[in-house]
Amino acid sequence: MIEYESNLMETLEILNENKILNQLILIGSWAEYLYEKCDVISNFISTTKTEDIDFLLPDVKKRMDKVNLYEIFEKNDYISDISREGIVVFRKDNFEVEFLTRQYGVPKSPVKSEALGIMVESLGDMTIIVTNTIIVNYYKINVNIPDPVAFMLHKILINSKRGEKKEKDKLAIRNLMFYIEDAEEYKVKIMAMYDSLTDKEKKTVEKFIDENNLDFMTFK
Amino acid sequence: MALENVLNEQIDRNEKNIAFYKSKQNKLPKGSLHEKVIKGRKYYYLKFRDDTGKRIDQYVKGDDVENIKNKIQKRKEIEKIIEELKADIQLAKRVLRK
Repeated sequence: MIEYESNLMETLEILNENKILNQLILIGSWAEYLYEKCDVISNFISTTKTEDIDFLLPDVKKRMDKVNLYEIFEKNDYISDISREGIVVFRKDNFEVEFLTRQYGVPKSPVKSEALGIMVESLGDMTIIVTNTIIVNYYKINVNIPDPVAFMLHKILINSKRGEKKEKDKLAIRNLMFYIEDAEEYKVKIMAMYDSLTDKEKKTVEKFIDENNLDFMTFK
Repeated sequence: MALENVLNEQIDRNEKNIAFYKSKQNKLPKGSLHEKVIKGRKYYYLKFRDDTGKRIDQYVKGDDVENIKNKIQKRKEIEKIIEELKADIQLAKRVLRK
């Protein structure tokens, strides 16, 4: 296992031992990395580089057993940093672990997660991820990650808001598209998930596809 | 040492990805599509160089034009990805040499 992968492993173990991991969805480029490591997409090679680890708490108001993340992480030599907005980041060596949640209604960030005992950032456009997850077994730990098609559609939906990460995300989107385009299973999923989007979201996807000459994929 | 491992791993990943994209690229038509108007009718030709460097003008049936256009576009897209992956490898190698 390469060194930065062991950071992920350690974080997953901590959360799993404390029975919180099954309540969370691993998002961001580490999810993409698990498509490769757990053979979710045949022969897939992700475009991941060393990245921080992001977890999504699908519903910040959902009742679940309370944990004290400060205590849990600090016990494992992580340092907690609190931003001016109150968002907590757990750091160890050169990587960070952050917790996010799905935004309901008007943007209000950050929000308090009573279950995790911390303030978390709330993000929009997360419905596609929350409603389309898969479970992978990574070194004997079950991890919730977005379905690859949901991951791709989500990246498309938020691309215009990604600033300097826009191009890196576009590469990840194109890479995923090329790996799944021949698999009938994924074609069906693309159609089904595209149909589940709101009209506004569909327009965003179509605009992205047109602007990036990706019209060879059947989205309509 | 940690950074070295990360970069070597990144180079290895990109090389594997390039191999995947080259295999996809090889299945797609190269060259460009040209329109000729002969006696008022439009005809389409795919212009490319074969493996020996000889220039080929291949007639494309009207029904296949859209499909060929899409495939050429896709090939260009793949070329772009390969360039990006190669640039990423070069960058990693430069850092490793420092």
